[in-house]
Amino acid sequence: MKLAMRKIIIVFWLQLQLIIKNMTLLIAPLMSIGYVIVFGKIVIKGSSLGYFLSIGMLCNVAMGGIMMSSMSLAAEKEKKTLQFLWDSSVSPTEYFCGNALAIEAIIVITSLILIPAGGIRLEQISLVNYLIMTIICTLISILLGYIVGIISPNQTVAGIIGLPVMFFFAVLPMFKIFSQTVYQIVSHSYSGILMKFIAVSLSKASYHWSVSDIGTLIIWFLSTLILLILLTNFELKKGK
Amino acid sequence: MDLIEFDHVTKKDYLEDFDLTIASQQKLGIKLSHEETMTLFDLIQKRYLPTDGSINCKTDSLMIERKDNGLYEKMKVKAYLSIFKRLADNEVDIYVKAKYFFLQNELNKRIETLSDLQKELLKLFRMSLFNPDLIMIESPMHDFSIEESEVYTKAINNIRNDGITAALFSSSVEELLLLNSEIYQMIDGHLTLLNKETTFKLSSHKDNQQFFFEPKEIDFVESINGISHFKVQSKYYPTNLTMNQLEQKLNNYGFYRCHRSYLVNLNRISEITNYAKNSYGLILNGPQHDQVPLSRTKVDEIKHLLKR
Repeated sequence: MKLAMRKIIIVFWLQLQLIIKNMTLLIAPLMSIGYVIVFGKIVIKGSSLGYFLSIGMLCNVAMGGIMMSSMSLAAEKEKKTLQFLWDSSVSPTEYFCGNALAIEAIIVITSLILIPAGGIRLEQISLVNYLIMTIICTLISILLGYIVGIISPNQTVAGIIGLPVMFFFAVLPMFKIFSQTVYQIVSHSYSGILMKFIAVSLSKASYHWSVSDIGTLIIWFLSTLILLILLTNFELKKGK
Repeated sequence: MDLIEFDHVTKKDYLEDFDLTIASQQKLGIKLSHEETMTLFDLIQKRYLPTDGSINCKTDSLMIERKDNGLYEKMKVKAYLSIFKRLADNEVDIYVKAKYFFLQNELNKRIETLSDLQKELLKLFRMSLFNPDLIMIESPMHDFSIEESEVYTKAINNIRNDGITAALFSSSVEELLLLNSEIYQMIDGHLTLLNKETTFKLSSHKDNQQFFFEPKEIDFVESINGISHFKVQSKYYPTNLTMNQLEQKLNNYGFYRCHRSYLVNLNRISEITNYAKNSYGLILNGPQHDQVPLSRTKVDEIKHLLKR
């Protein structure tokens, strides 16, 4: 266990360096900060702040999580840098954990920056719930991104396959206020629950964890994890 | 001590009856195509099972370097090596060890700025951090110049001197000859130890005929009007290869580039002449006593080579 943790931490530092040096991967978190700052200055303080923070969070958590994990995995496959990691006795599990931790760290830090960037006072939002929601939703995004990365042979294909996935989870929820159908669809996605959390937290009411929200998040987490495990085993066993 | 045994290993359509034992400190080269090498590596790493035969790996400490393995190009050399040093749990001082791999001046550079030779040396350095008993490398010196090949050879010899057994795989015998004392090749379905003298021939097309010459048959190579010609038994035979390509191929067979337009077989030289101030020539053995010009700057070097 101690050995596995050591390798996960090493992979974490490696992946953190690689992500920070790759501006393409940092676009989503940087864009979310820019978006929230710009609209925070334009919008008169009020209920709209919650809407713009939730869009910033979608951009950061959903788009950033999916993009960073899918592109980093696809890049490793394209440039054939994974093989030597396996030969260095790093297991796929240790690699995924280290990589996920690095992405999680970047997204969580960005999420915390979004609060003051959007002109929101820390007292207005439950920080504990905010962090829990961010971490869980980011994890689901990362797993989705890994699924895209596993089936993509290179970054270009990962970008193409990832587009509809990002659209569904990061863009579609933005339109839920305009369409009842979209609202219904999005309310069953993890990103929809994230949006709902932000909106409720910043309204006069406070957010309470409901059975349906927790259940939805658990279902998304488990289904993406199981699908990822199946795909990984299939890829590893693929032989002549 | 035997490190790995391949016992009649067969993989349908890729490998047939591959039978070899690699012992510690053996300087081994194996001629296999890229596909065959990839299949062998996959079998060693148990990605799938062989159709027949078995592989008995007697060491846990084995590293494989495939030709197309990549590097993290955006990272600096030192940062990259530090990651693998930590993975290997090795306390070695990277600055000290870098000298063995001729990378001491490159540690603060990004990997993407390194030359192909330096990248191969970096891969070698990376593998050495794990102190493996055996490393298997595929075609590390493809497209290297003679000077680059010499540097890489020194690096391989450094790690061999550290007790690491290095086995090289390549589809080019010339590449294997530079680094190994034993070369094996699949001939008629069996892995056979090659006789260095009989494996290598150069071809020439002349008068609608195809000729093949072993290096020892060639007196010298001359560039005439931009075309390289072999001089064999008082006749000239043209070749499509350039002088530089021939120099690279014949370097291991006792040939020396004595002049921009000449490659001479050192075994044929009987005399060095000085026919005028700063004008030198080589007189060769044989009835015709062929004369080949020698560049003034190469006099000392050829004297040194002939003394060996």
